[in-house]
Order: sequence, then C-alpha cells, then structure tokens
Amino acid sequence: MKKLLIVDDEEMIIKSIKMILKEYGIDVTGYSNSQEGVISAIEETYDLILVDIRMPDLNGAEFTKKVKSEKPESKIMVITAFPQDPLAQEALDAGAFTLLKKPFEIVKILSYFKEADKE
Amino acid sequence: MSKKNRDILNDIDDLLDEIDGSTNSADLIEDDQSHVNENDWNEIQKIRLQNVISEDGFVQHTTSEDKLQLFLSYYPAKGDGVELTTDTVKKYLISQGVNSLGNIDWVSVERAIKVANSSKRTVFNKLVVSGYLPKNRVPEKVYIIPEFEKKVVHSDNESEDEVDYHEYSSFIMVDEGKEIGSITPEVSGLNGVDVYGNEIPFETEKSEKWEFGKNIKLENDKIVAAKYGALVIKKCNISIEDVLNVKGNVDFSTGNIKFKGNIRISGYIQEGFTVVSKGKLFCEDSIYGANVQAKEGIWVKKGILGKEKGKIFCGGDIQTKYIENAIVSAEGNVEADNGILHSQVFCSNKVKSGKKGMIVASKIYAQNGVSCAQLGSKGGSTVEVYCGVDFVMQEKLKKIQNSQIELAQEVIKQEEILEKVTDPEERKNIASKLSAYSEYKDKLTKLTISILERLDQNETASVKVKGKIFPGAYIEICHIAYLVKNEMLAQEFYLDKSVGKVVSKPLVS
Repeated sequence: MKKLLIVDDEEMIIKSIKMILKEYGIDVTGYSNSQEGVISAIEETYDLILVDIRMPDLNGAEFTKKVKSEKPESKIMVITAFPQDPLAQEALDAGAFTLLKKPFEIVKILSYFKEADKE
Repeated sequence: MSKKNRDILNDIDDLLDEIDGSTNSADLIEDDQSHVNENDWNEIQKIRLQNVISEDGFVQHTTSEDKLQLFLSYYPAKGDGVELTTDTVKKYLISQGVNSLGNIDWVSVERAIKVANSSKRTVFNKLVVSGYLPKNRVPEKVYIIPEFEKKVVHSDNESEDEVDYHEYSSFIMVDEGKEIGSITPEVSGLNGVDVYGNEIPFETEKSEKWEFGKNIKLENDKIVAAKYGALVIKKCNISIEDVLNVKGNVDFSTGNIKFKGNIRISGYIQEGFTVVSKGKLFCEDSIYGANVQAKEGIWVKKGILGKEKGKIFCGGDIQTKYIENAIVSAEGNVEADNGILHSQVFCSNKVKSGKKGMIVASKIYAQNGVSCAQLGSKGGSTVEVYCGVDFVMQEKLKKIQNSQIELAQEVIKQEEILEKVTDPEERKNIASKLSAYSEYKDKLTKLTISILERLDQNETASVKVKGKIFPGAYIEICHIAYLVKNEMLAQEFYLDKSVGKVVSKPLVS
C-alpha cells in the first residue's frame, strides 16, 4: 500500500484527502501541526509528502529544507494556490519537486503514483 | 269589309274623337271590349288585323361580350306575315355566321317560337347557344413543402413566453432521404370555342423553370435530399450544400448554427452565439465571445477574442492569429501566430506561436510541448505552462475530483452528526445518506481509475522559447515544476529524468 504524509493546518483538508485517497489504496497520515509533521517525515518512510506552503509555525519552504536535509530522498509536493508565491519558489529551491495547487489536484497525486509504479 | 262592320268602326271613331282625336281605333278596340258582344268582338279583331301591315316573324340576336353566349329575341309575325319556324332561325343564324348549329339548344328555340307565334308577343333574349373557354396549358410545377420555404426554424425548447433569438436559424439542414417537395405533372391545354364556332386558342400559364442542383435526386415525382447538408433554394434552383456557406456574420440574422458538415463563415461570429460543426470550421474574420465547436478543425483568419465568455472546443487543430481572454481546447495543435493573452488553452498536442508570438498572463496545457517567441512579460503577469500530460483527460478527472472532495466533506459532516445524534429515526436517515454517498464514491473512484489508465505522459515534451523568458513564468513537465527566477533568453526547458528535475538549455535555432 502506498503511504502518503499530509501536513496542513486545516483538519478538514486532511480528513478529505484521507477519505478520497483511501479509495485508491493510498494510506494517508495527516498532521495539522507542522513540527509534528517534520518529525514524522523524518522518522517514517513515505512514498509522497504533501505540505501546505503557509502554516502558522513552520511554512512549507522551511519544512522542505528540514526534511530534505535529514532525508534527501523524500518526495515533497508543496500545496499552494499561487505558483508565483516566493515561498513556493523557496520550497522548490529547497528540493520540493512540484507544486500542488488549491483546490486540490488529486489527479496530480494519483498521476504521480501511477508513474512511480511504472518505474 | 262589310257595311255593317264599317258602320261600327265609324261609331267608335266618333266616340274617340270626342275624347281624343289622335288615338288609333284599332288599338283601343283591342283593349276595350266591354261594350261589344263576343261575335262582334271577333269581327273587330279580324278588322284590326286586316288594318295592320303584314310582317313575317323574325329573330334577332345578341351575344355576350366574350362571344360565349348567344341570345335570340323572337318577333312574331304581324298581320298575314309568315310565322316563325325553326328554319327561319336556322337561316338567320347561318347568315350571322353561326356555323355550329349542332350546339344550338333547339328545344329552347322551338319553345320560344311556339310562345311567340301563339301569343303574338315578342320573346326576348333567350339563350340558345354557349361556347366554352379554353383550358390553359399548365406546365410542370414544383411544390416545396412549406417547412422548407420558411427561413426561420424554431428551437424545440422554445416556450411561448421565452424566445431566444439566438436560436432563430436562417439555415435549414436536411437529412439524406428527406422529402423536400414534389413535382406536379404538366396539364395539356384545350382550345375553347365561341358561339360562332371559332376556336379560342388556349394560353400557357406562366411557370418557373426549376433546376435541381447538387445532392438532389428525383424519386418518381418526389424531390429528395441525396445527402445531408444545408438546403439552398435560390431562384428556382434547389441544391444541398455539404459545406454550409455563411455569407456575412453569424449573428441575429443567422441565429445559432449546428451543421454536420463543414462550415465556412465569410464574416465574424458574434458574441453570445453558438456554432457547432461536425466537420471543419473556417472563419474569415474573428470569433467574439462565442461558443464554437468543430470536430475536425477550426481555422480563424483573425483572432479568437473570448471576452471572458467564449469557449472553443475542437477535435482537431486550431489555427488563428491570436487568442485573447478565451478558453480553448483542442485535441490537435493550437497555433496562434501572434500569441496568447489572458487565456486558458488545453491541447492534446502542441501549442505554437509565430516568430513574434508571445504567451502572456495565460495558462497553457499542452501535452507535447510549447514553442513561442516570448514567455511572460515585464510586468510580471503570471504565465503557467504545463506539458507532458494529457490535459484534456486530466480536465475530465478534475471534474470528478471536485465531486469527490465535496462528497468527502459531506461524509465527514454527516459522520460527525451521527456521533452526536441519539434519535433512532434520525440515525437511520443519516445512515441511509452515508450509504448512498458510499455508492456514489465507489462510482467516482472506478471512473477515475479507468481514466487514469488512459492518461499518458510525454516525458520528452519541452518548452521552447526563441526570445525572452520573464521571471515568474511557471513551467511543469510531467508534474515536475520549474519557476523562472531571472530573465532568460532563448531557452529550451525539458525534463531531465536522471535528476528528476526540469532543466533548461540554450535553444538551438
């Protein structure tokens, strides 16, 4: 089963993503607290990590830097409504491989897993 | 005359002279027999007749103005004159040039003669012979079924209260085999005859000569469409065009257009109108805020100006000078010579612009790549380019995904309510709703999986920019992102699989 970590300060988003992706055989772990999310990202193994770009304590760019520094192989998608957001650029520079736009691009997640399966 | 009779007459004359000396005694006697006995009266009558000048009976005729009726007046014989006979009438008619004696109503003549002879009174104006009018020749005629003569076709959905004038189409489409009209055969002419037996020649009625042009066939006396197309009836020529030619603009004069074949428009397509073609669409001007669909291709000589309303869908390629404020989707290529501005373009193949073509403030989704002269602008307006994925399919998936998100949120809400509710009836209702949601959720999932399986990626797709690439331009190839930070020139952006990143290299011209 594929494992996915989602870090977003909105609980509803975490619950929705969990429910939807479960239908596709993807096991989702969610944290609304970014510090807890970082710990989980480092300590556990996930096929994909989703992190919101703007959160109260640790933004998505900082999250990416921290996780990448400890686990460079992590695959991180940054959740943002605006691709031109400077923080989004920072996150990409820090090693996030793509942006996930709001409203949620679940297709992108599914597509990613599909291509990952091929490899 | 006997002396006795002469004496009687003289007495009467005297009597008359006392009253009025100018009256003819014979006439008066005829009217006044009150003081004369019968025998004497008869004698008086004889005298009177003897005193009248003898005249044979005769007939006179009149004809109607059109010489189709002949009337006889019968004048009885006077005095010892010869009474009227049918021979008299015959001779008279022949002398007047009435040769067709066989047409005379001799029964009527004999009756009139009898009356005239016996009553000694004139019988006036009795019809004795009639001619007949010619029957004009009627050439072959074409009858067009009324529904095809009307230029206005009402939409099926139109109610009495709502009239959408966009739907008043001036074109009539017909299916193959549809009966359009019929031909009534020629009716031969027949000469008429007047009372003199003269022929009245028939005339030929005026009629238009019809021509049956392209894609029309005749089945016995029926006029039938040999092919699907636009019915054209012009000055006695019927044809069916498999290319619908719109001379002028698509606007209120034409209404919305739906055609199974190719459409050629010499003008523009006005805002608010819909044009659908199952073939190709050629527009010699621009498309303004209209909804246009063509299965095989769209060619627009000038531009597509969506005015934030218009949507263009094409099963083939789209070619135009520019695209502005529009949503455009093509299963082939999209070529906009001068560029794309403030638009969304979805394309299953490539998006190309010309030597000076700019892509500014737009979102471009092109599975097999993009090429342009400039990407973004100095003002930093957002431009996003996504390549490598079948976006047409992906758009379909997005719609499903939106439903999934809404559904998931609804389920969470209901589950939270269920945790708090104790009433069994209410719990039952919520459980029933959740069951229905679950079924719906399964359907959406299956649909997504089936579409996902068909979602191909092209990892070789690239973005080629011959000129400047401005900061803020966002590029994704196969979901891998690249954000342009500094101004660049003449670059090709591609996916380097070895490092799993989108990288750029100088564009080789």
